Amino acid sequence: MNAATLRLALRFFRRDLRSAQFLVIGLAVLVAVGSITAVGSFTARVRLALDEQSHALLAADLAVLSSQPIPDSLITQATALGLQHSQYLGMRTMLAAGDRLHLSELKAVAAGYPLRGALTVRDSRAGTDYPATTVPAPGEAWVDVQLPGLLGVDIGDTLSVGSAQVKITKVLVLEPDRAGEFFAIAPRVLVNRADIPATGLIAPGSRVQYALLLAGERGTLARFRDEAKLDPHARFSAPSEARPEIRAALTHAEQFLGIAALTATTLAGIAILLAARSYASERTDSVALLRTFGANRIQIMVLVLGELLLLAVSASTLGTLLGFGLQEVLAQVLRGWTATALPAPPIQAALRGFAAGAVAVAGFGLAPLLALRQVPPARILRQDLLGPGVRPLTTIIYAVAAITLLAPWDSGDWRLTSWAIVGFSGVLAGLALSGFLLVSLLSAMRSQASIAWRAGLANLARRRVQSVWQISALGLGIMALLLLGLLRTDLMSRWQETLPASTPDQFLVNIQPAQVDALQQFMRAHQLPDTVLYPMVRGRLLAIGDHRVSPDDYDDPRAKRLVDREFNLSWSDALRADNRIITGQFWPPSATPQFSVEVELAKRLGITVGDTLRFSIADREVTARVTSLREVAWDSMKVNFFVLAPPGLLSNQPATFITSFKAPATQPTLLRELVAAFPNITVIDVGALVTQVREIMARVVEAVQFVFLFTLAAGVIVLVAALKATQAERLYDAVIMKTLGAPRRLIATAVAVEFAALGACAGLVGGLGAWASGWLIARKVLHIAYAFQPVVIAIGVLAGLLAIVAVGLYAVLSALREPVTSALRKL
Amino acid sequence: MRRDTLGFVFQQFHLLPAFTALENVMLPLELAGRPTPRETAAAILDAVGLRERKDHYPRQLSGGEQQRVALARAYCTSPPVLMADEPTGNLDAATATQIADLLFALNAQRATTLMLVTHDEKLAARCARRIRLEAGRLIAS
Repeated sequence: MNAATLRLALRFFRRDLRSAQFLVIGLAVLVAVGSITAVGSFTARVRLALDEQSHALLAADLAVLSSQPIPDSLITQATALGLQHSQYLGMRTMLAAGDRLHLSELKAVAAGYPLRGALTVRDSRAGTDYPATTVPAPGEAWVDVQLPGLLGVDIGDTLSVGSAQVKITKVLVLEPDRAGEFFAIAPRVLVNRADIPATGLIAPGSRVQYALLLAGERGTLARFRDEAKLDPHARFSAPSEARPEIRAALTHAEQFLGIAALTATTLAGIAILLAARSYASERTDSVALLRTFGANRIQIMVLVLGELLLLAVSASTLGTLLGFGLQEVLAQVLRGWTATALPAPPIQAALRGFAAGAVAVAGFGLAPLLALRQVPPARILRQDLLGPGVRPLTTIIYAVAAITLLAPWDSGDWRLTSWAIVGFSGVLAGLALSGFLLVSLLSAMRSQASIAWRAGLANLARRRVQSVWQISALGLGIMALLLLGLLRTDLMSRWQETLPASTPDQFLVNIQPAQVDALQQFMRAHQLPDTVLYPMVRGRLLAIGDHRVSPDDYDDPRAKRLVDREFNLSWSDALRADNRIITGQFWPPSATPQFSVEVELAKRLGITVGDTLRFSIADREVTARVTSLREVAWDSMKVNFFVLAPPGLLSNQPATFITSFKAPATQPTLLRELVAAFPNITVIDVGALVTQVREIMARVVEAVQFVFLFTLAAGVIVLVAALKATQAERLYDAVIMKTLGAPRRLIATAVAVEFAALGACAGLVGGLGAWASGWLIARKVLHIAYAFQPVVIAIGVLAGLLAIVAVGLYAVLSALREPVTSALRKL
Repeated sequence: MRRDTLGFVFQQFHLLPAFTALENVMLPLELAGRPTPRETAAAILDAVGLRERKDHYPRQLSGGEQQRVALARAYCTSPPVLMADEPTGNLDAATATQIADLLFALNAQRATTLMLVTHDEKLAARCARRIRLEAGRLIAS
C-alpha cells in the first residue's frame, strides 16, 4: 500500500461520485444510517419517556423502604452525593370525624414529594383535576374522593388523625406511586410529615413503612446503592420493580420497538447489498483494465476499500445528520399527541447510528466488492470471464453477522432479538432457495410463451443470480413490511385486548361471609350480575416438604418478601377459564389434600409438583401436596390467588371474600351506595393503574407506527436499489427492441412480465416468511395466541407485483420516450 | 416503419444478451408477424454457417459469430433497405472479409438496398455507389 494508490483511490472516488451505481450505494448508506439514527434516537427518547413514567410510578428514581425510621446516615450520604431526596411514612390508621370512624391509609409526605411524576388534585369533590405543585401544608389533609362520604364530612371540615386535628383542603385524585401499592386496602389520606409527632400514632409496635425517595444521575444512584449500608429492615425499590402489570407493559413496549428498529436496519442493509453488487459488476471492466496495467490484487483492494471507506464516512455523516433531523421532526409531531414532552435524544444514539453505518457497509457491501480482487486481466478481452464471483453463502454469512451486530441487544428481550435474527437469516436462505426454484420454473415456461412474455421471462432467467437476489431482497422487504404491519395492527391490538374496556377497576375486600348473599343481591340490582365473590384466607408459608422456609433461604429479594408475609389462599372446585395448568393436573381424584400453585411463585420459591406445603392459617396449620402449577394473567386485573385448594380443605378457616368489577359509568352513585350499605367493605379503586397501563400501551402503538414509517422508507430504497441494479441492461434491451421495430406496447409488456414475475415471486416468498415469523414471534416471544390470515400472503403477492411493476415500468418507459437515434448513441 | 422496411447492422453487434442466437434472429420475424419464425430463423442461421451455434447466447459467441447473427437478424425479414454502420469495424481482417462477403452475398440473394457506413476503403470499394464524407462535409460522390 502506498500514497500513490491512496491518491488514486481518492481520484476514483471523486470520479465515481458521478456514477449512478456508486451514488445508489451512498444513498443506501445514507438511508441506512439515517433510519438507524432516527429509529435509534427516537426509540431511545421513547424509552426515556417510558422510563420517566416508570420512575413516576415510584415517585422517584430509587427508593429505600424500611419498617424502621430511615437512619440519618443515609440522608447525609444522599446529600453528599448531591441526590435529591424526600422522605415519607405510611401507616394504616383510623380516622375520626364526629362520631364516625373509618380505616385509612395515611401517608405523611415532606416538601419535594413526589420527586418524579406529579400529584393530581381537585379543589372540590366534583371539581376539575389539576397537578399540585406542593404537598399538604402542616395541619392540612388531602383525601381520596370517597373518604368524605364515608365519614360524612366535606372539603373544609376537620378530621382527627390520632390526637391531631387536620383540615381537609383538597381531594387527592392520583398520586404517581399509587400503582406501586396496589393492595392498599383503605382510602388514602395525605398529610404533612411535620404533623406526625402531634398525632402520637408512632409508638413501639406500630406498623409503619418509612420511605426515602431519591432522584439524580443514574451513575450517582448506582454509587449510592453500592455504598449504602441498609439494615435488615430496609430494602431498595427501583423503578423496574414496579407492579407486574406495568412491568409487563414496559417489556412488551421495548420488544415492539426493538423489532421495528431491527426490521428497518435489515432492510437498509439489503439495499446496500443490492447496490454494492451492481456497483461491483459495473466496476469489473475498469478493475480488469487496471490489472492489465499491472496493478496487483492488494492495490485493487486498497483502491476498492479506500473508495468504500470514503463513501461510508461521507454518507454516514450525512445520514447521521439526516436521521437526527428526522427524529426531531417526529418528536415534534408526536409531542402534540402525548401528555408529556419527550426527553432530549441521547448523543449515543447518533454515535451508534454512525457506527452502524460502518457495520452496515462492511457487512452488506464488502463481500461483492472484495470479489473484485479476483477479476482476471483477461476479462478485458473476454466478457465471459467474470472471475469466481461471490458465493451466496459468503454474502449471507456477512449479512447475518452484520444484522447480529446491528441488532438492538440492549433493548427489551434478547430472545426476541435472537428469534428475529434467526427468522431473518432463515428466511433469507429460504428466499434464495425458493427464488431459485421459481426462476428455474419460469424459464422452463418461456419457449411456449408469446414474444413479449418470452422476452420478459428470458431476462429473468438470464440474470438468474441477480433475479434470485432481487427476489430474496424484495421478498425480505415485503416480509418485513408485512410482519411489521401485522405487529403494528394484529399483535398490538391483541396486546391491547388484554386490557379490554371491561377490565375491572374496583376491588372489594374484607367482605364477611354473612354479607355474601346480600352483596350479590346488591350487585344484581345494579346490573352487575356476573360479579363472582372469591373466598380468601390469609396464611404464612411455614415449610416446603420437611424444610422450614425462611427469608434467608433466598437471594431474590422478591422471594424473601413473599415468604416474609402472608399469602392469599383461596378455594375453588373448577379451574377458571383464564387460568392455565402448566404442569400436573387440576384436582386429580385423590383422597389426600392438595394445592395448586401459581407458576411464577413456584419458580421463585422453588416449589414443584409433588412438594408438600405447610401453611399457618389463623392459629392452625394446614398441610397439602402440590398437584399442579397454574399460569395466571396478572395483567387482566382480575382477582387471582397464588395458592388454591379444593373446597373443603380451607373452608372451615376464617375467610373473607374478595371481588373485582368494572364500575359502570352510568351509575356514578354505585360506590357510595355500596359503602353505605356495607360500611365494613373496603373499596380499592385501581382505575388509575389501569389508565397508566393503557397509556403506556397507547404510546407504544404510536411510537411503533412512526418507526414503521422508517421501515417503509427503507423498503422503498430496497425496491429502487433492486431495480436500479439492472436498469442499464433493461434500457439496452428496450432500445434494441425498439430499433428492431418493436412497438412500445410490446416492450412495456415484456418489462411488465419480468417485473410482475419478480414481484409475484418476491411477494409469495415474503408472505410465507411473514407467516412463519409472525407465528414464531407470537408464540415464542409474546406468548399470545395468534391465528395467521392466509390473505396476508395474497396481499404480499399483490403489493409486491404492483409496486415493482409500477416503479419498473416508469423507469424503463420514461427512457424510451426519446428518439431511437439518441437512445442508440447512449448504448 | 422500421419493422417492415429497415434492417440494421451495428459496429457493436447489439444482440439481446438474454436471447439465444436463434431467439435474436426470430425477434424481427415475430415483430413483423411472419409465419413460422422459428424455422425461418433457423434456416438463415444455417445460411450464415451458425447451425451448430444457434442455441448459444451472445456472450458465448466470438465477435465474428455475433456479427453473423446480427446479419442474419437484419436480413431475415428481407427488408427493402438495410443500414449497416461499420459492420466490420470491430472484427479482425480475416473475419471482416468473411462478414463482408456474407453481407454482399445476402444483399444480392435477397435483393436489398444496402446502405453502408465505413472507414474501410476495401469494403467501400465493393459498393455500387460511394459518398465520401470528411469532417462532416461531402467530398465526393
